[in-house]
Amino acid sequence: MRNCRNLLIISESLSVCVTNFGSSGWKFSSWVQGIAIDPAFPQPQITSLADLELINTFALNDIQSSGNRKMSQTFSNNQNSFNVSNTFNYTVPDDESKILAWLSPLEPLVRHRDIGAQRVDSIGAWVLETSEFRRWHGGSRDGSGHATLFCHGNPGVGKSYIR
Amino acid sequence: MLMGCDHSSLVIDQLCDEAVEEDAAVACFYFDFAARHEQSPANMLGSLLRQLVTGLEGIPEAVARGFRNQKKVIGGRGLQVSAILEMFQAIPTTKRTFICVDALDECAPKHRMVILESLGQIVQGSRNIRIFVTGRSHIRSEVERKLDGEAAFILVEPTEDGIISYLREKLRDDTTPEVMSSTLEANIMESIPAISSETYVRTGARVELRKDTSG
Repeated sequence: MRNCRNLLIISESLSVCVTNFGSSGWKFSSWVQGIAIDPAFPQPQITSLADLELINTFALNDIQSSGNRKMSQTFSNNQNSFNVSNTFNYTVPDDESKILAWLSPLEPLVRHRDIGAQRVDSIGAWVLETSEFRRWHGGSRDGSGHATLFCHGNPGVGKSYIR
Repeated sequence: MLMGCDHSSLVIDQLCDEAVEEDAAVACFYFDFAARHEQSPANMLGSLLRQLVTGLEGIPEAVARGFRNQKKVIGGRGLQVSAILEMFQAIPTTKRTFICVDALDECAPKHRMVILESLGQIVQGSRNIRIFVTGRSHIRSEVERKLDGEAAFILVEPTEDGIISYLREKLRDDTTPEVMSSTLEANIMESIPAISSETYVRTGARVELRKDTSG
């Protein structure tokens, strides 16, 4: 088991965990967390640490070369009388999109496109010409000026006609 | 803000154009009264962080680590504002970075305090970060207090030229021109700018022309 632990988290993004490794033979999917195994393909029989290492090498290579795309990989190992031969398909999860979704579930850019479409061009461009805007905007180059610019206005009479 | 015009959108478009040209980063957030429950400080600040992280080459280690750590909690754990602010400090901000927040007045007051304080911390963390905020004037004092000398202000009032351009555009796009007469059009062009120039119209407002066709 000590050797097994050396294989722990070979790929952090895969969360490959081999602490469950045992002689009884356990399912491939139970330790490669986050990999969606295509059930149509037979799963490799894993009987040794060498087999695990080989699978991990395949998985790491695939992640590094092609991200979350679906792919096939031939897995074959006839060394040391461990006879493992299989083809399996898997989809490496897009960890990046999971992390981004975790940061926030909101999708604000959709709103921007919507508002932009309603805008009448050329109106209000004077804001960009004000000294306040210029100082705020230009100061971002050298760190001077106010870091925050607050544009404010009041709601007016006839609000029911304006929204 | 000025009728028919969205200054924040105008500014964001301007900043986005610049971002393409000179490799600056832009993140935007739009508050909406109808969505005030889901627009919590954590979701809002997380959204800004998410946009900035999306623009980077890869996920910064501090963010990936936070993600891995929360996965250890069964069922995962929602992000706390403090954790988001820590991640903000950890992401590289060598680029000029603009954060735009629209209609801050539509955010729930108790959330607004947290958000303003957080924005204050974010700008203190990096001199390359600039924040653009729009909102009604009644929250100006809050912004002033929470950002304590860090904010500049522009009062947006409708200009007559802007109102006239806007009305012309709307009349041109009229979907029911058959009920429009030249007298009505002249009345609109004369009376609305006169009323509106005495009035401040709120951020992102747009005018719906309503024609009384009953009589």
